[in-house]
Amino acid sequence: MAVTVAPGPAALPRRPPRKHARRFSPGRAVAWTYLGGIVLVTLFPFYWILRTALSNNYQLATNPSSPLPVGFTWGAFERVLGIATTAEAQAQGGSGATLDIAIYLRNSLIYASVQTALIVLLSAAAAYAFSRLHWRGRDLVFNILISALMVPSVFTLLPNFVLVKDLGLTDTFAGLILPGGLFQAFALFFLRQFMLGLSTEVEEAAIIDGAGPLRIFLRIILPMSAAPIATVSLLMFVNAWNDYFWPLLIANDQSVQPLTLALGVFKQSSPQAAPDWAGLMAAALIAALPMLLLFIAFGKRIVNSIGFSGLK
Amino acid sequence: MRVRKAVALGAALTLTALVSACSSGSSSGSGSSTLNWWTWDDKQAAAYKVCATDFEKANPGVKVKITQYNVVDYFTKLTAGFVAGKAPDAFQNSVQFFPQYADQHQLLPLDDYIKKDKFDLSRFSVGVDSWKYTDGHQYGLPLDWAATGLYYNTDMLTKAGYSTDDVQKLNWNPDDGGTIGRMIAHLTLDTKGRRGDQPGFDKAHIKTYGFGQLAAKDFLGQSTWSSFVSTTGWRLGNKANWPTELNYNDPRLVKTMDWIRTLVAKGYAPKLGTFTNTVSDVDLLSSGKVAMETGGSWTASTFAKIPNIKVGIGPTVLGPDGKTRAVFSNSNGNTIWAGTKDPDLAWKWVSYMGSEACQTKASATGTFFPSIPASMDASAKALKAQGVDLTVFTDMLKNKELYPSPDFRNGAALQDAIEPLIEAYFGGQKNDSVFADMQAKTKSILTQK
Repeated sequence: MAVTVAPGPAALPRRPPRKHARRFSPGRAVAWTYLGGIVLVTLFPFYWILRTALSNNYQLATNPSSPLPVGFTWGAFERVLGIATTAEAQAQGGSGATLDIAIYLRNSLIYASVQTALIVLLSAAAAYAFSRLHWRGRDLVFNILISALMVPSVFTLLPNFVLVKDLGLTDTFAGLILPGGLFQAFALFFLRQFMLGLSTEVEEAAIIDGAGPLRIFLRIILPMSAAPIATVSLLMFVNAWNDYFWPLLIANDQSVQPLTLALGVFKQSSPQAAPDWAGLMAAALIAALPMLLLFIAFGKRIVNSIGFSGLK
Repeated sequence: MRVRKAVALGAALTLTALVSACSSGSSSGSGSSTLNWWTWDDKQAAAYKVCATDFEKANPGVKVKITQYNVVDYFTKLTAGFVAGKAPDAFQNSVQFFPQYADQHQLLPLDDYIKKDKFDLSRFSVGVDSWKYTDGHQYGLPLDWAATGLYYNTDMLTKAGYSTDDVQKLNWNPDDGGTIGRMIAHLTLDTKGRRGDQPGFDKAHIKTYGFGQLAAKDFLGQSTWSSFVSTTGWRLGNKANWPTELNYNDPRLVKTMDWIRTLVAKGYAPKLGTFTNTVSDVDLLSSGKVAMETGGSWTASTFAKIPNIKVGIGPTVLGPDGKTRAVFSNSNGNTIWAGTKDPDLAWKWVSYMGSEACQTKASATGTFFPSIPASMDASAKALKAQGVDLTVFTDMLKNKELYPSPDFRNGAALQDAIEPLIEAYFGGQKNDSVFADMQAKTKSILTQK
C-alpha cells in the first residue's frame, strides 16, 4: 500500500533532568491542589452513593450527615439483586418491591447491544455514501438528514410512540430498538466527518485493483474507521443502557423491560413517602457498574480515538 | 475478515431481536386469565399480594399480577397504556387524575355490576362519593383513606417542659398562633441551646426548628397548612365537590399564610428551600432537624420503626373557637380500565379487594387505612400490638372531624399553575396580592372543559 510515512523530527529534544521535574514551585503546588480538589469533588458523590447504599434505610434518617454508613448492612444490595424477601426488605425500611434482576439485565444487554450494532452498521454505511461516493444531491440530502440533530427528542417521542403502537410493536424488543436504532444523526455526522478526512490514495488503489463500492466500504473504509466506530459504539451503548423514558412508554411486560426501568421501583413510591434511599443508591450503583467496567476496559481507546485523526 | 464477522453478527443479532420481539408480542396479547393490577405504592403492592393469593385459590386458572411503578412515572405509564391498548385491567387511581380519565372514557362505570351483585357501598365509611363522577356514574371503589396528625419528638417535647397530654388539645389562631404557636417557639433551639422564646435567640443558626416544613409548594396543603386553616371553617373549593373555583383569596387563608411567613421569619420553621423537595417528613423529624410537624397518617407505622427516637402522635390543632377540628382526607380508588378484555373478572377482583376479608388482611401491616370500618378496627388492633397507636386517626373518623377532599377537573394543570405562585409567595417574591391571582387562575382552569 502506498502509505507515505512522514519523516520524524530530526532529533528528540533532550529530556530535562529529573531533579528539575521534581523541584517545588508555587505554580506546581497550585496545579496539584487544584487537581486534587477536582478529583475529590468528582469522586465524592460516588462515595456518598456507596455510603448510602450500605446503610439501613430507617437508621439513615436519624443521622443523615454521617460520613460513614449508618447501621452498616448489605441489605440494600440484597434488595436490588432480588435475594432479600419482602419481609426482610421492609424490616430495613426498604421498598417492598421485588425484582428479578437476571431478566432485566438480559433485556438491557439485548436492548443496548442490538441498538448499538444497528446504529453503527447503518450510520457507517450512510456515512460512507455521504462522504466517499459522489452522487447528485448528496450534500442536500445530508443536510436534510443532519437537521434532525436540531430536533429535540421530545418532539419525535410522540410520533414514534404512535407509529410503534400502530405497528403493534409495543412490549417488543423491535419496538424498543428500531426507532432509536434506525437513525442516529449524531453517529452519522461523526462518522462522515471522519471518513471525509480519509486519504483517497488507498481507495483509488482499490478501485484500480477492481474493487466495487461495497467491497471498498467493507474492506477498506470500515477497518480504517475502527477507532471512531469504537467511540460511537461506546457512546451509543452507554446511551441505550441509560435510556429510561422510551422503555417506560413502550415496555409494559417484564420480559422486555430494561434494568433502568425495573430499578425505578426504588424511586419515591408516593408523593409524601420517604423513598428507599439505600435501595435507590444501591440500584444506581448496580446499574452504573457495567458502564464503569466498560470505561475501565476501553477508557484509553476512547481518549485516543477522540484525538485520532487518521492518515493525513 | 473481522469486519465481515462483525457485520454478520450484527445482522444476526438484529434478526434474533426481531424474532424474539414477535414471539413475546404474541404471548403477551393472549392469556386472558392473567389479571393485571397496578399500584404506585410499593408497600401496598406487597400488602395486596395476600389478597391475590386468596383470589387465585378461589378462582382456579386465574392469575393476578400486581405491578408497581413509582408515582412520578405511574400516570405517564397509565396514559401510555391507554393509548397503546396495554393498560392494566384494574388499577389504583388518584382523585387528581380521575376526572380526566373518566372524560376520556378510559374508566368502566361500575353501576351495573354494583346493582347486579347487590354490592353494598355503605360498607365504606369514607370515600365513596369521591369516585362518583359528574355524569352520575360510580367509577371506583374507595381503597383507603388518609388523615394528618401532629408528629413530635417525645424527648424534645419533655425537655422543653411539656407533657404528651399538652399536645392533645392544642389550639391555634392566625393572629398569635394560640397555644401551639407558643409551643413551637419554645421547641425551637438555636445552635447555642437558646430557645425561640428566650432572649438572645439567634434565628440565623437554628439547630432544631419548632415546626416542620409549612412553607412548601403543596397546593392542597394537606400535610402543611390545611389542618390549620380548615379549623376556621375555610374549605378549599367553593362547592364540596366539583368546585368552580378554589378559595385561595379567602381572608382566612391569606391570614394563615401570613402567620406561616412570620413563623419562618422568626426562625421557628424552615424557609422554603432550606430542605430540598426530596427530604420527607420522616427525614426531617428523625434527623432531629424539627421537633414537631404535620404528617400523613400513612407515616405512622414508619416512625415506629426508626431506631433511637420516640415519635408521638397528636391530633391536629383546634381552631380559634377552641373546639373545632377539621382535617382534609382523601381516598384513593380502585378503578377498572374500559379497555379490559375481561371486565367481569376485573370486577370480581376489584369487588373482592373491596371486601372486608381482603381489606382486613391487607391492612394488617398498617401501610394504609382501609375504608371499611371493621377492617380499620382490625388494622388498628394489629398495629397496636406492634406499638403503633392509631387512636388519634380513628377518633377523627369517629368524631366526624374529617372532610373529604373535593373532586375537581384538570388537577394536573391546576397543580402546575398554583405551585409556582405559592413558592413565589413563600420565597418573598410575591405578597398577599398573589392569592387573588391564584383564585382567578383556579376559576379559569376548573371551568375549562
